Amino acid sequence: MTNYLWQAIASPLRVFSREETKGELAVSAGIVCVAAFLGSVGIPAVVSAVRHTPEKPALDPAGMLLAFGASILSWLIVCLLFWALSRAFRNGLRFRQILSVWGLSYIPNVLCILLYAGLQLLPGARVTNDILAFVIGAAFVFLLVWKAIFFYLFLRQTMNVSLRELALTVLASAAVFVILLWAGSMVGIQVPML
Amino acid sequence: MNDTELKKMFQQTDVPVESAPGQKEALLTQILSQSNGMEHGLSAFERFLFTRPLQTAGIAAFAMTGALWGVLGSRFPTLISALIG
Repeated sequence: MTNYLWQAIASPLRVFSREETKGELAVSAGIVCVAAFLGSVGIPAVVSAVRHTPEKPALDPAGMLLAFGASILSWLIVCLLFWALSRAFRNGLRFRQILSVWGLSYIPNVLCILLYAGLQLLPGARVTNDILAFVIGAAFVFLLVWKAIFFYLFLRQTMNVSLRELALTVLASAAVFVILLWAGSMVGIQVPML
Repeated sequence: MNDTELKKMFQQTDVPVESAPGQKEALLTQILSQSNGMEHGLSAFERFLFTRPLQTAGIAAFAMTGALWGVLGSRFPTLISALIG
């Protein structure tokens, strides 16, 4: 498992392939579950317990469960979209292969949730220093670019799309991502789970 | 098959096969790429992007954040505070 994780982080070209390797689906699903749990249950609970503010948010177990379910569901919906596009492009990618690979791209999501949680725990959560703002901003942009690289790698290497198919996939994904972001914000997901 | 047809067939098989221009090079590149664990069809930039994603993301992040800071100036920390919530 650690080997997969390390490869996905340092040199993802090998793990974002069509070759099915034993245990890859478990690692992929595991990363998504960790991200979903941290974002919907773990971090809100810790923030609620640690942050001493008058407007201390009350814990909502039902809302947390809903956010957790929505996070997992959004992963499945995105995988379903990629599978449908693969079928349309006739490039023979199976749903299990998509599940096994796309979940690996949730590593930046996990780090983004941890970073966001760390900032939430800061007293007052106000950034007034220019250098500190630069470092925090660069960290978020870093995770965003990393996720974008994973997305592009998935399209080029796993889905093996042509230029026209790439454009179509990006457009279709963007539309679905916007809908999922809106739906996620409705159920209280603060850090995007895509 | 009669003797004439058999003779013609042997003559055809004796003709040396010439590969199309660039075919050998393409085959060699494909074999080398596969032995390196890389799929063919990726450009040099894409290979760099996919083998060194952290370095690329780091460079892009500093450049983009620096540009944003340059544009927003003193409003930059306010934006970051607003994003954190």
